[in-house]
Amino acid sequence: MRIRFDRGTLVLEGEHAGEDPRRIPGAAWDEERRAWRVPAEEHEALIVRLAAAGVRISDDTGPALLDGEWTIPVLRWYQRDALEHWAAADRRGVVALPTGSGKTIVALAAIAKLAVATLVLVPTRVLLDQWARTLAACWPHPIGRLGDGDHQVLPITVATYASAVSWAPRIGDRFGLVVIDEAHHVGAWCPAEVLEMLIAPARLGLTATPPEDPRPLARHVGRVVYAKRPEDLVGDGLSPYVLETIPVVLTREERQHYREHRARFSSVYAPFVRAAPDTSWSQFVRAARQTRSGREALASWRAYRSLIAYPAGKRSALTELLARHRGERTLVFTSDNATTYAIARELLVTPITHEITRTERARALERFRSGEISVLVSSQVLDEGLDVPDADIAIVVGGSASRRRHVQRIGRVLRPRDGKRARIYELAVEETTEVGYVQRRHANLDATIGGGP
Amino acid sequence: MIRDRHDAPEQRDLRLYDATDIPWIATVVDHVVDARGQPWRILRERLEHSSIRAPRVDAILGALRRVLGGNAERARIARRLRGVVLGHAALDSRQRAARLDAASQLLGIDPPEVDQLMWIDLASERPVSLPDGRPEERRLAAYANLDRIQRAVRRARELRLVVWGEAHELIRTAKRHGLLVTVSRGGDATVLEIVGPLALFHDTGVYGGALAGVIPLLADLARFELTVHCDFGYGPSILRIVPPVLLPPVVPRGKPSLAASLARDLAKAAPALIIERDPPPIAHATALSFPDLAIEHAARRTWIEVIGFATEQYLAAQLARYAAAGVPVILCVHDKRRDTVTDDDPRILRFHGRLAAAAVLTRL
Repeated sequence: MRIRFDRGTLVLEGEHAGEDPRRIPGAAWDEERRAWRVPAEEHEALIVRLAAAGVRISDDTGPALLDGEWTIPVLRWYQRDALEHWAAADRRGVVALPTGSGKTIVALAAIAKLAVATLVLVPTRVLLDQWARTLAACWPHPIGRLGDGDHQVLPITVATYASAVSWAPRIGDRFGLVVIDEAHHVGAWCPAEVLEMLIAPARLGLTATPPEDPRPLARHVGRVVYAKRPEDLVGDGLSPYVLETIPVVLTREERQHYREHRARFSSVYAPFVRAAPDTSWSQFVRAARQTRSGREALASWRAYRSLIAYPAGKRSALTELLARHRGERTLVFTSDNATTYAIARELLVTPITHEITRTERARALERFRSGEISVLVSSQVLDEGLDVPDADIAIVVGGSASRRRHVQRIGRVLRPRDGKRARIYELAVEETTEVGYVQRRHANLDATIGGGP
Repeated sequence: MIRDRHDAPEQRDLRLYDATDIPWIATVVDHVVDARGQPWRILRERLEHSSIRAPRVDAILGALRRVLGGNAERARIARRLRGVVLGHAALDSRQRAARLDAASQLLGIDPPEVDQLMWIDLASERPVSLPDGRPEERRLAAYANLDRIQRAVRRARELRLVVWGEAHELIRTAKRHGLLVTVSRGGDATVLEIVGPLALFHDTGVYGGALAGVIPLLADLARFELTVHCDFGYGPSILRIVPPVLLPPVVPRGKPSLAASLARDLAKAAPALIIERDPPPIAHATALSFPDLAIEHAARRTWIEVIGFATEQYLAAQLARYAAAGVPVILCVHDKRRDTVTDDDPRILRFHGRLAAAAVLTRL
């Protein structure tokens, strides 16, 4: 039986008498190419099945082996444990460790151990650059990149999820291991089909926050084989921290605007939800766009959210906190890019957004590491995965009710250092919807990591 | 015109922009012209207070950004300024002014200008500029239509395209995007059924981007029917798109296809050959084959089809089809396992990497 890779699938052709691909479970007939196909991720199972049936296999696929010496930091106890659990699970599964605990190092050790061509999937261009740099520092050969304008495929290649969608059909047979960073996105931001198009039998997912619905991840990567919570690692893998919520009061004028816009929005939204309690937000938006009052309600929703994103009270609180922690490495998190740029413009601090290029971002992070600058401000880019060592202070100027996002943000300042005690401040505008957001984040946070030690 | 038919009782008509939309597009363009030199966010704020609905404004501003293109020079200036000015937090107006003054002296730019230029590369902060003058409303409508159709197709599971006229480039483009294209004859038209390979196993929207890559080519077709099977999150829908549709002109592909490179190499190697690119399709029963070249050599005409990937069963079927039509053919097949000398059938030329003109010439 001849097996070839084509466009994210395996094409099966009988070469000898009695070899009939249609008998392979799951094989589908492609009328256009007159071929039997199975998804590429079935490769290993297919080989095992055919070999067991005594079928002679002519396999045109096959990932390259890696050579060269690796330079990897000594693994911490939990990183070593994680690697062993993953290897014991037949080199498939998810390692769930808190942000800042060194998940990347687990992946580096896995790649070095398997010594097989590896594809690393990451959600953002920022992480693409970070992974490529980290790998280049540990392995003596160039690292391929797919995304952010790069399209070079090498035995170790880092690809953004978006680039992998278009590249997996072409290169899905070249890798024996796939590492999925921020693996909780599998099935959504990272389409499960990308993993279907890869033959890689070894699969390692990394996350700080396993998804509530584990099915896509379990099916295409494996179950969670090792998990530790921040409290398990405090004092060893993570820094202790203090979390403080700072109430912010709107000015009289701001409050009046907030109430007007909120009332205009509620006058449309509340009856809509009463009439159709199971309706989703996107369904409401679609319906609201059809009427003048609906469009005005949406405009008011945008207006009051924009108002509480960065009112005068948050401005003063932020300035005061930055003055209190002058010179300490501080990450400022906002709810949107407009606020990020407003803060950057007013305080002349560096914004990190998707619009800031790779070179400029790398330079900013380097200056932050060296202490040349002490403040970075971002709405989303700093949320996940970005390696920002030794940040001591996080100031959450705005955000959503998302537990995952909040845990990721807090994790940014929990990288351990001798004597370090991280401080996290959250600004919440009183008597607005933001209070509810903060309460939901805290409730979820308590459930997740048991609050600050 | 796009008609939306789906299982839900709600029926919706989505309309593409045409000549009747030119007046309100002209109003948007008036605002754009008035906002020259101001940041884009100011333009947006002004348009929010106009009578034009937000989705229409978004569509035309999106088209305008596409027409205006790159911002490399602005980015260079802004990056340099940010590198000089941004640092520790400037916690009061005195510190802020001092920082801007220092940068101003270093770079020879006025402090207020430093403040503005520092952000000119950002989408919302860059100033509105119209280097080629007032943009034409019809052109913006065309780009907005293209964007609108592509957005719909990005949610698509499969496309069915009925084409009257040239279909070679459509087929090549779809295949280049990794899609499966089943071609058949439908009366006097060519019918293309386009899906992604994983659609053989389950319903998938992952090929939406690839399917959308075919859409710009519709501009070259005087007559077509596009049927899009998609899901906008409220159940399956079927959109049907037929001309007249205002679309921007097709931009020629940068990298030549394998067939185009082969034609060029053949012409260079044997100037006496008469080479026809994209000859008419060869019909056999309800199926159609699309040879890439027809070559006249020593009073004999030979057709060439370049095939990226094929099974033996597919090659046998293709050879049978051409033979049934009485057409001599050479099938050039990409195959990394075998080279050109090992194949027994002279009508099959296997190659790996570049398709050599010399190898084709020996088969003519």
